[in-house]
Amino acid sequence: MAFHLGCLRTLNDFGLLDKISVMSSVSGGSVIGALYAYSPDLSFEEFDSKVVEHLKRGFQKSILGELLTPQNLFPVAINTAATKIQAALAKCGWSEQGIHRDYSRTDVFAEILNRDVLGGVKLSSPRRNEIETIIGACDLKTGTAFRFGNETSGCGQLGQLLENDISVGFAVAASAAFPLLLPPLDRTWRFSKNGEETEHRVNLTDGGVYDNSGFQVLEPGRDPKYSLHSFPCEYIIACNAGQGQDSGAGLPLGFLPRISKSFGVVHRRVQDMVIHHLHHLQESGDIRGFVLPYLGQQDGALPWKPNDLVTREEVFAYPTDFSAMTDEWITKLSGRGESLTRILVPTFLKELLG
Amino acid sequence: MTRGQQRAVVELERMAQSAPDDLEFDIEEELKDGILVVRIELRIGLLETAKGGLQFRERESFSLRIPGEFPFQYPRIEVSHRRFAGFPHVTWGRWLCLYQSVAQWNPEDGLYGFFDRLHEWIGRAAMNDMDPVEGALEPPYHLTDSTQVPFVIRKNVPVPPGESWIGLAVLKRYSNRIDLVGWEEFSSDLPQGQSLALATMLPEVLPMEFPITGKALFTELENQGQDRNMLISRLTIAALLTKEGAPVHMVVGLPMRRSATGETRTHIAVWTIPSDVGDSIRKSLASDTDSEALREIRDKLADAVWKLIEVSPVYWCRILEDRSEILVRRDAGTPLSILANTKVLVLGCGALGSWVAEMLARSSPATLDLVDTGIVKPGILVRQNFTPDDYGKGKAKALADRIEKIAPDVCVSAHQQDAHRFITGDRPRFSDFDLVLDCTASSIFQMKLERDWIDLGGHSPRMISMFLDAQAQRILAMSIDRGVPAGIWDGYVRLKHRLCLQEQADLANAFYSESAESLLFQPEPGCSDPTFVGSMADVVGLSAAALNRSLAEPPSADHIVGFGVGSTRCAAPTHRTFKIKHDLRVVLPTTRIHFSDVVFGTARSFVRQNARERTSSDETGGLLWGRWDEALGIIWVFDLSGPPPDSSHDNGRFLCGTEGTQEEHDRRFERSGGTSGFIGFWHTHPQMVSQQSAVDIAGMAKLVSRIGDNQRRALMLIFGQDGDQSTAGIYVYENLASHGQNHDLVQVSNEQIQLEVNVL
Amino acid sequence: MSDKFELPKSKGVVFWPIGTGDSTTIVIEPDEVVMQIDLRHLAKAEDGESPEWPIVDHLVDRLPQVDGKPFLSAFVLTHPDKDHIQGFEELLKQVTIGEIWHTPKVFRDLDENESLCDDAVAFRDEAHRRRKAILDANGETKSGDRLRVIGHDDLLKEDDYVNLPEECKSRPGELVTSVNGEDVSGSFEAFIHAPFKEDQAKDRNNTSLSLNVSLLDGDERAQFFFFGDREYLTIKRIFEVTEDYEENVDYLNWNVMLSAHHCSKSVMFWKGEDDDEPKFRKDIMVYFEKYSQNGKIIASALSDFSDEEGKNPPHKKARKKYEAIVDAGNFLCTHEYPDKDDPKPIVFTVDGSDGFGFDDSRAKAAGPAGLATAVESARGASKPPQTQTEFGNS
Repeated sequence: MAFHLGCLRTLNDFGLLDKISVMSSVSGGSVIGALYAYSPDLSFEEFDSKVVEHLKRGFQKSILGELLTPQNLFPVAINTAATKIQAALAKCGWSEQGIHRDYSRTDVFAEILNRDVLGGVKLSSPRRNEIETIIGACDLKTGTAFRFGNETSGCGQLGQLLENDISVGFAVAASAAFPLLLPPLDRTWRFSKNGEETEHRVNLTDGGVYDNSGFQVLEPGRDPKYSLHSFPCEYIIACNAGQGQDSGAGLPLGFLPRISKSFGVVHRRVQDMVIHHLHHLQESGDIRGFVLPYLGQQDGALPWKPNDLVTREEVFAYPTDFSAMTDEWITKLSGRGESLTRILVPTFLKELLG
Repeated sequence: MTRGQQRAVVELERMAQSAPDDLEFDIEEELKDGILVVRIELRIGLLETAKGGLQFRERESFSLRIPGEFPFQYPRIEVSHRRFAGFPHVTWGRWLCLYQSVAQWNPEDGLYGFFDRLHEWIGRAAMNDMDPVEGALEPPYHLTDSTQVPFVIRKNVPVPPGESWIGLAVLKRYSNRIDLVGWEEFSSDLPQGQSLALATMLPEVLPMEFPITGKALFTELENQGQDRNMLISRLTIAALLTKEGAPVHMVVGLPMRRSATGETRTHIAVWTIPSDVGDSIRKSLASDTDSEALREIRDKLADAVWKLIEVSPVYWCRILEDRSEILVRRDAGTPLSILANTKVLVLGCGALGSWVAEMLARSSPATLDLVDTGIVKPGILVRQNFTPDDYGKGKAKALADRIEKIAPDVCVSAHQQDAHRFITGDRPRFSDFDLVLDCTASSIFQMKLERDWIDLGGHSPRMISMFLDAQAQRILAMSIDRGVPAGIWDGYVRLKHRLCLQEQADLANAFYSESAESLLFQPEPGCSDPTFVGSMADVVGLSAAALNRSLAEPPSADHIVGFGVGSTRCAAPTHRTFKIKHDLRVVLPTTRIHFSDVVFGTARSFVRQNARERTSSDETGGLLWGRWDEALGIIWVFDLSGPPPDSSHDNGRFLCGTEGTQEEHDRRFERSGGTSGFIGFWHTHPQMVSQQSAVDIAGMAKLVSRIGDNQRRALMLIFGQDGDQSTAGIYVYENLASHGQNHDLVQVSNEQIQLEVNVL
Repeated sequence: MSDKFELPKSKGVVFWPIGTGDSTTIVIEPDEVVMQIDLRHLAKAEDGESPEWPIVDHLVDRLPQVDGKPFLSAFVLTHPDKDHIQGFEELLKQVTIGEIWHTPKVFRDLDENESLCDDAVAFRDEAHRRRKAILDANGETKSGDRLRVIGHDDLLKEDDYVNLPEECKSRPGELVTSVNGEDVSGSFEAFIHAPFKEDQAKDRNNTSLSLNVSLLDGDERAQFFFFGDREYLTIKRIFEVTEDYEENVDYLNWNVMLSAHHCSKSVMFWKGEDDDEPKFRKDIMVYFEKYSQNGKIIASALSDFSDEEGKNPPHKKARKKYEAIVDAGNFLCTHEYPDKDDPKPIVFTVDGSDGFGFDDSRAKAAGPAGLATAVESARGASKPPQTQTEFGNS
């Protein structure tokens, strides 16, 4: 998130923020993306300070704090218990359906976001510069992208939600529910597809599981028959706070680190594919330019190293877990975001700087 | 019957069986040349008709001629009557033209396809819905004299079709043809030595079958109101214009053609009378010195001659059309077609220029000028457009001679001189060109032109420049518009910067790396300049690709366009287009400064960052990156960077740090292929004018002095404000310390400019 | 067979689909003066199952009514063959016929070996009745008793006939402009081309009455040529003779020609003395073509054209020759118009403002329709068959 803030700062310095027409966010980026989009009345500086404030506070404590309140503790406890029973039943061969997992830590996260960060706005609320906003999550049941947008939400397979009356906080929580930290959000909704209405149950988790760049919806040539969200763009700026190549240190022992590493590997591979894909799109003229400020960027590959560059080694190992951040880390991460964006934009997006 | 013909008969039987009342056939005979003649009877039935459509009988007979090579050759179909004569797609009054070209015939479908086509033909003829035909309304059925060379008609007729005219046709004789190159009115001052023939444009058409005998022709023309005596006098003039022993020619124009859009055009035919008849005509002319008896003899001779002409068959010459009003150019709509009737200059007639010049010449420009200093040597024939006959000749002249033969309508001039001198020797002439091709591949020439660009006073022509890499696998081309403030070399520098920075590795490596240099070789070791390795196929393929691309995507007033094209020999042959916006150019007395379009936007971003991290009243600044070319007197400013971490910022003072700057310079310089290195500093004067202060002067002086940092030259940029207007002060510091002097002589030139981008 | 057919409301000519035979109705004054040339009514046609039309029934329904009975101003018989007179007896019963026109041949057959069918006998009897009535009336002949004998014949010099008033006789070369005693010269002209004096000895067919009927309306004129069942020589003679008289040449023009003898090949194929078999005679076709005014040729016959040995008309050979001299679409067979399944009468009209008209109810094709189907069918199908295909090893 801090990295993204740095990118946004530099984009603002170059005067490019006002030229943005679509914003697609995934995972951690959704928090800051949603806050940026749905704060039309804040100046950039006000937005900047608000983000810094939240970064300093983090969300983990809040979530924990919320969980311990009486109204949440009980439902959550039941839920957790129910989950364990369900797992046991599954082992004996009983079907998975049945016990609705309703209220979880992620729901609490959503509540907190709505209450403290976003001010309870809905997806259809007014946005800064009327940016089209897409917040990407993943539905574990269909295994496909489930996206929330200011106009419509849904997924290609199930169709669009009959009522797009979702709070932004919920959407962000679904998008950022990193599988290792927060359980998926469980909901049953009515969908409309090809004129038919059906009811489906969805299990929403971090959009990064499916596509951690979020730029698919910006690609030209998406078929509206299969894609609910299609906003082809001429220029694409993709800020990626993923970690990049593993240095090799830290052998995975134990379950959690190993899973975490697998996710990391998948993310990096997806990142590489995205870069190549964007190159191809540019070469074929489908898009006119792109930049990819990437936290895990190999510094050696940059056109030059600015004298104030925060290196990859310095920030590479910083975990993404919504815990509170120190001033130093906020400065480092946002600084890297700023530097990378500042190098890349004049080189690759010259035409926009007029 | 051949197998194909047998198959045709089977097909006919099947069709006749299916509809015995509607189609009947009868095999008539097999001709000596193997053609099978079959009589066909068709019932037509009630048809949709339209005004002007062909009127069919209820039952029509046709004669079908099936060639031995059927189905690989299509059959002909004709009628025995003249009822269809004069209708489109009916030739010589009787042959039905079902196919415009062989390409439309489908051998596989045999006669079924043929009769489908006939069905369509009949239906459309009845509806008068045939496409207008290009070509003669009806190719005249006439006798052709194939022993004479053909006439090539190159000039459009002098009057619209259907208008009467009489005059002279100007001819140019070659060994294989006679070109008709002009039309002249009768006048007393016709230049001597031209080959002329009588020409007459007739207002009405002749019948489809041209009159066969002279008498018939005379009668036909008399019917059109052409007086017989006038015809005789015209033929006499024609004879007079003819040399002894040569056949007499009379050029006749008839409104008997149609253009593709259906408008009438003039058909040209050339009547030819044998040379002996021509001689006789000349002999029969009376002279003042004639005696009575001689005159009588002459008259008798005249009578005999005219009787002979009347009785003899009329012969016509073969015609090859080259008129722009008749032919549709085969390159219409292609990028090169825009060159028609333009003035073009080609600088350099070598591997690129000798082919480019020919390509341009075939697109029919009005004039083509060729410039080269070299001569034709044997080794270059491998890939340059010359022949052994040209050895020792100046390249420009040899190429001009060749082009004259290829495109006689183009006015070609050869200039055996240096390209730069050609331009500076006559600047208005240079400005007057519609297009200039720089095929010199000479950076020296391009640099000199850049140096003197200002002398053109803003009247530079549109230019395209191109050069190959050492292995002739890629070509870089660049296109600048007319009247732009900077020339080709400036374009190449900026293109190189762009290529290196944007990771166009294949192009950057091919053209600009050191390894590229090492791939050059010396064809005649010790005696020639290093050059690239490549064959004619490489050279022609790449230059053609570059030319096509450059013409297809023209530059604009505020962009140059660069092209990198890889040939099919590359692993991944591609072509890439780079549009580079023109720099902001500031002209100082001794230097010109070109600011890349990102410079001011980037400065603004640093100013905002400064406002964020410090306050907006603190001064900030950083380093300038670019290329300083002293030989040309041009400074390119490509980028600027922010304050190093060890800088200090105050209200009224900015101390620029040094941390990381050495590494940054090395990185930038290497990465940009040497086009971008340290060239100076910039800083801000918040809420103040952008004039240099005493502190600024002192700082720069220290920078360039020998006892200081010994930079010898540096650029300073100050961003300030004048009320609401954002301004920049530009200061060029140069240490002119000369040999033997102890002190430094620092020259400062400066300029204040107003900015469109609000930096502060 | 249709109940809805009505006679034209303006002057016109109707060719009925009555099989292979002739039946032509001429409307001289709509709803007043109607003439019928030849008749063929098949009893079997009355039930509506066959393609032929029961003409007598239609005439009875559609003719103008006078005194409560259908009234036909004139009945013209070209020659007394069955396919030209069948149904006359019935017609006479149900319809008042003002005047009948015939050739002397009708009476000759009384003596010779060519037998007459019943209807022909009835006609002859009626002709005799009228002759007597005229002679008795002494110049005061009334409608219903009128007669016109056309042609030269020695018979007419005999006692029974010699006293017939001149107005009852007509000869070739004369123009008749009155019908049933009424002067209709502004609307109708019938130029008598034949029978000639020399014809009287010939067979029935070649003594056919041959007329060129003009219908007039204002400045408009349309001409209809009738030859009965004449053959090559006698038709040719008509043209040859008439061309000698310049003032009559216009009566050779035709807008519509009823092909002689139902499109028989004997019109243009004729075996001369030195020939082994009938040869094509181009000159008669040249005559036809010369006087054609964008002419249309009618073949009044069933659509069973063929060239088999001994077959009766219509003949295919004749059709092909006719088709070669008229414009596309101008050869009409009564049993192919507008299509073979449901023939309808062919109606031509003459109108002062529109002139000569033919309301062609056939569809116009975009090209020779028959050719298109021939090609398609000859090409063969490329898709799999629509019926099952059986295989086996027994």
